[in-house]
Amino acid sequence: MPNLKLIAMRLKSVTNIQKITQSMKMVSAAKFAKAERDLKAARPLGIAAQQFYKSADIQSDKEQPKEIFVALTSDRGLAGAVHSNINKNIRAQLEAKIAAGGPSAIDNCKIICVGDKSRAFFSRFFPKQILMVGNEIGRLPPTFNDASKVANAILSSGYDYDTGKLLFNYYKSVVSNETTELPIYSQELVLSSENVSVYDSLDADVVQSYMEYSLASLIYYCMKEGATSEQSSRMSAMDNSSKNAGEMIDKLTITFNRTRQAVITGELIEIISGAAAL
Amino acid sequence: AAAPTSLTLNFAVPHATIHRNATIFQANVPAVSGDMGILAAHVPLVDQLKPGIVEIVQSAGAKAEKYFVSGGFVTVTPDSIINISAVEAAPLEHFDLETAKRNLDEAQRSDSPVNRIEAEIYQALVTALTQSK
Repeated sequence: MPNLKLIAMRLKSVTNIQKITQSMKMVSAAKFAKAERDLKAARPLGIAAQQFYKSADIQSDKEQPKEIFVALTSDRGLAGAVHSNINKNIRAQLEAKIAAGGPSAIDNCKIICVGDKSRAFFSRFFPKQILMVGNEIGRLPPTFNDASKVANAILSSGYDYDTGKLLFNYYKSVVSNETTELPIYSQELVLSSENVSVYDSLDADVVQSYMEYSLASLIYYCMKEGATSEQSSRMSAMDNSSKNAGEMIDKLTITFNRTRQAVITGELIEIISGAAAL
Repeated sequence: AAAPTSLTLNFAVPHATIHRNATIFQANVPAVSGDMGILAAHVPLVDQLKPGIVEIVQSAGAKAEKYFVSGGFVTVTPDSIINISAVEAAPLEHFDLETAKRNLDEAQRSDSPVNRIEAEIYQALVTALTQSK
């Protein structure tokens, strides 16, 4: 018969865990409400920033273009599948390249890890591809300032990429988000695209300034989407944990009571058989 | 996409959307290459905005809505959609001329890059406010 004390300890620890996950859920719910409001305001900015590139329809014609992947995750875990979805997506793309062209096919691909969660993953699987790492992400809601810092770091990294992908989780609803990628291009690629020559009075200066600004806007938009997805995912993950903990508490309480009654019954039997022996 | 006979406006800042898919008649923007008025079927362009006033005219002859923007970009796509994206923008009526003048004096006192940018913005703001009186 399992020890009464052990069951009591287990019961106490699961109850504590349930309290912690409950309060994490409350905190996430509050942060999520704010993030969703911010996202509503930021979505038009993101759509407008993408419009130029969509209508320009830029294609890269190089054999093995230099690519960068920007993994927009955060530092904090216990958020369900959000971080691992982005990490696995990038890994799948890199592995597809290796399968098609051998291990050297990814020499031209670099990863920028925004957030510790992606850094931990890629330093295990693709340490040579990591170009730079950003942390202190996820504690506070992202601002345009943060996005500008990331954009600045990408542009001044010294790695002149041809194309790139921003990977983030597009927020669809409280229970669903989708890993999405947004393309980013280098300045030469934009200037040499034919659709771009339609634009009046477009010189290299304006394009450079516009690309810096739109990169920051796109990153800001992706960060906002990612933050909302992360908070909603954490909310449901913590909610599920609390429910599971509640089930465990019920089961443990039943076992505890059964054990307690068995102990009492055992003592009674001893007493009775001891009295009968007299 | 709007037909080339009307102008569709998206005017947004990172933390808010001012206009979304709004059909307007004319937009006047303070581009770095010069102030320009944009009507429907304008030639596609991309231009940087300097600190100044963006005027939105909803329909021909209507009073213009004035917003002061801190800088940003304007793009007009081939299908007559104009996107104005600024880092900060607010209606001109929300600004106080005296506070702007005081901040301009303070900014002009030192010559660091931050102060020079501040001075440029406050100068544009003071000019805009005095002109609109």
